[in-house]
Amino acid sequence: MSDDDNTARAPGARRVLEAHGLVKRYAGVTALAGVDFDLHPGEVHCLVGENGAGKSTLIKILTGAVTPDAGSIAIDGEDVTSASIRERRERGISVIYQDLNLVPQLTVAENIFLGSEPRTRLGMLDRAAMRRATEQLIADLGVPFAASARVGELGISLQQLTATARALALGGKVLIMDEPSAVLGGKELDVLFGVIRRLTAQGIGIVYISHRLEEIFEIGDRVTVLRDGNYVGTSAVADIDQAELVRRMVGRDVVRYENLDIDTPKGAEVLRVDSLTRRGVLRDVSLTVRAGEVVGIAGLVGAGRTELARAIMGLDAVDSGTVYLDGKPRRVTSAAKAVRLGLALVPEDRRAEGIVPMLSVRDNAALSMVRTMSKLGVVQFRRMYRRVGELARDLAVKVPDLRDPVSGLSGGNQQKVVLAKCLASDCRVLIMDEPTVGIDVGAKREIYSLIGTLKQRGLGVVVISSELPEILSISDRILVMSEGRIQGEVDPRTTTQEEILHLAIPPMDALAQGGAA
Amino acid sequence: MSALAPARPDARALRWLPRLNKRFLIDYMAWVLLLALALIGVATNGSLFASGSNLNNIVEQSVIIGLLAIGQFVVILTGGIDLSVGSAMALTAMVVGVSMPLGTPGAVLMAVLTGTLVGLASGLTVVYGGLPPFIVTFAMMAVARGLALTITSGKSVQVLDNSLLGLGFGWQKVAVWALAIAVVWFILTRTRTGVRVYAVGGNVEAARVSGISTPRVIVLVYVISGLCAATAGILSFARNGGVAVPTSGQGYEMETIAAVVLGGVNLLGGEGRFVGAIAGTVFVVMLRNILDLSNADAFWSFCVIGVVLWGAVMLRGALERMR
Repeated sequence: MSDDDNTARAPGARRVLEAHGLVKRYAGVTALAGVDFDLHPGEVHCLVGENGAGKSTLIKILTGAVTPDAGSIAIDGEDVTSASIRERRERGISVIYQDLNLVPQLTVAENIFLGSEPRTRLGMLDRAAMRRATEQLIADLGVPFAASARVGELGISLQQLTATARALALGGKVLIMDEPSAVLGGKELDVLFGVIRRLTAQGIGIVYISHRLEEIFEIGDRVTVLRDGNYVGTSAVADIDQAELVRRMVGRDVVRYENLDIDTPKGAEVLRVDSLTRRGVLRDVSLTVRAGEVVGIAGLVGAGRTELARAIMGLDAVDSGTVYLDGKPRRVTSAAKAVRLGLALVPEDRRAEGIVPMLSVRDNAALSMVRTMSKLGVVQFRRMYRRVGELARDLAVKVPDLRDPVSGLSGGNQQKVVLAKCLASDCRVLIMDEPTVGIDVGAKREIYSLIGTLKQRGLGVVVISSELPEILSISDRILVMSEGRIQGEVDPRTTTQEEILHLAIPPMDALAQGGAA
Repeated sequence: MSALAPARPDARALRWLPRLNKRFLIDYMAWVLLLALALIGVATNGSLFASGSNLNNIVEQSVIIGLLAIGQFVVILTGGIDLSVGSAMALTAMVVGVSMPLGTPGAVLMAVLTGTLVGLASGLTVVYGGLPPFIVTFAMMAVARGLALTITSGKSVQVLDNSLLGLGFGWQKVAVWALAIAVVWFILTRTRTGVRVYAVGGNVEAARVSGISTPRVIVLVYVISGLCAATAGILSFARNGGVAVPTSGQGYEMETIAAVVLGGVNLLGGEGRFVGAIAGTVFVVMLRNILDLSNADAFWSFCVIGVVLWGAVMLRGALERMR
């Protein structure tokens, strides 16, 4: 596409950071396939792309946390491709990760100088110098807050600024901000933008990553688009509009799987959610799922999709709203109750919430059956393991012995074990949160085909996915969430990825009202 | 610039006023409880409890637990725990006893060396073995106790005539405790190391990405605990009039944990005031003193300390959840 970026700046403008042809492969999966990136002093260069486009990998390569398989990186014209994180930090590359990495129990000043605390001539901690320098940094940011405040007691935007001040304390020339706005509301966002403008005025180059495209048009000078690890192009923000940006971000083919045919007859309504609200997270969410139906929930990270799944499953309390199962209103107060009522969840974070790594494959799959497979409190292992064996065969879990630990399986097979566990509870509604994240292409197809089988058996399935081609190829209906609300419903036969993205991107005036409620 | 330092008294500042109160309550919980316990002491045993000699007793008896609690406190700040403090104390006391023939300085040096080794062994295993501190120091508790017993096949060591004896009594003993408090307080509040100890306990990952050598910090806190145990061992040898008892210090891990938890430390690491641990120590000792004065069955005191530990953790948790 357009490579006209160089003309967007004065010709021959100095580049503080320059990367060419970066390639990174992980176990056969190409995370980055020949990406170029450069940064001028005092510029905001935005980096956009869908989840999995390669943004995080690119950042990690720039900071030195990951070594590229090919390509080169230069700081101020000097090659640093093989320099360590520390060397690059000393040369002025700082990064603020999304999780900020602060110590909540320490003060702002202590956090800023953590690891490089100033000392007096006697070797004591120089708290006075720390405070002075911190106050200077805070003054530079233009937002007054106390250097002596405990970070854990600050609001999220001041924590963000603390992390920014820490990055600046190292004397950075390049500041990489990974989704800095993800947790900020409208007013806080203005503060952040004010700080960014001050920094660029001082000649600091900013790499700004965000999925909120409006922000890019407000703060960015140039924007680079990545898609599936490929470099799509770089443009001056002034030369591009949002529609074009979205067009560049999407563009994968959608394959419809045969056993996921939309026209199969649907049964009765099995799940209805009415006006579910959880303050600051979910706003008036309603949806229905019928037997034999796959309902996709699309949206960006932070849209409230996982929170919706957790609320339905009784994992988080809600402020108002009702969940109906088979038409009957139910108070789902705990996950145990949800499972008894016929709900099951395949959680997003498989390792943390889906499996018990040290248990065997069969014990993992049997976890949800222990209650029903017991007589007078004694587990009938033979009967239970026989059922596990059937399920494992059904789902084609590839494991030499069901007694092997589940941690040795591939992501795809682990996911099948999680699915087996859910199905073992004889659920009628299955909620799957990012079911194919971190799974290779072949196993993905198997998971899709399993979803098809469940659909044919008359289960109601809810699939939450950030991958648009995935959600388009398996859903009967697609609900798009943004800012904790369902923004619209689209028909996968007629919709486009662009339409979904437009619904998923929060409008700027909604941001201004403050998402931090 | 300095005009910016105090946050403006806006809504935000007012919002964390109650949180400051909560923090304050946790930090000073032990002092309030100590006062309450003293009143109970006066109420139940009157002049017997409030007499100068009894109060003197309480302070003197606090020294050993107090020293061990210092080490326990520093370890818990990093999110760890040291179950070996009692048996490490017994081991160093035995080492002092048997190495007295080397002369007093030699014996003290041997004790210090023993304490350092015990701490190093625990710390290195925690860091490089990747094992939970609970298990590592639980094992160390058995190892140190076993060594203490092995040295003399379980018998006590007596060296009645030695120059350490003076250290075991009166103000000298309290002075050693005060010195240890001063040194550790200085490290925690006035040096880089102190901030890093809190940082490792608060968020190891943040500490690591800040370029802090987290293994060094973790090993250091166990060594500090080992040195505190060594000092306690020397004092206990002196206090017993030059007798080292290999079975001494049993259950001290409980009492020190109770003391620092009462003192407001967060068992998950990262927060706690040092002065709280001192108040907690005096509380635990005073509690035992009152039970003794009340002629309570000695076996009961174990049970009572257990209940106090349980109550302290509950109380701290309740304060933490308070808004």
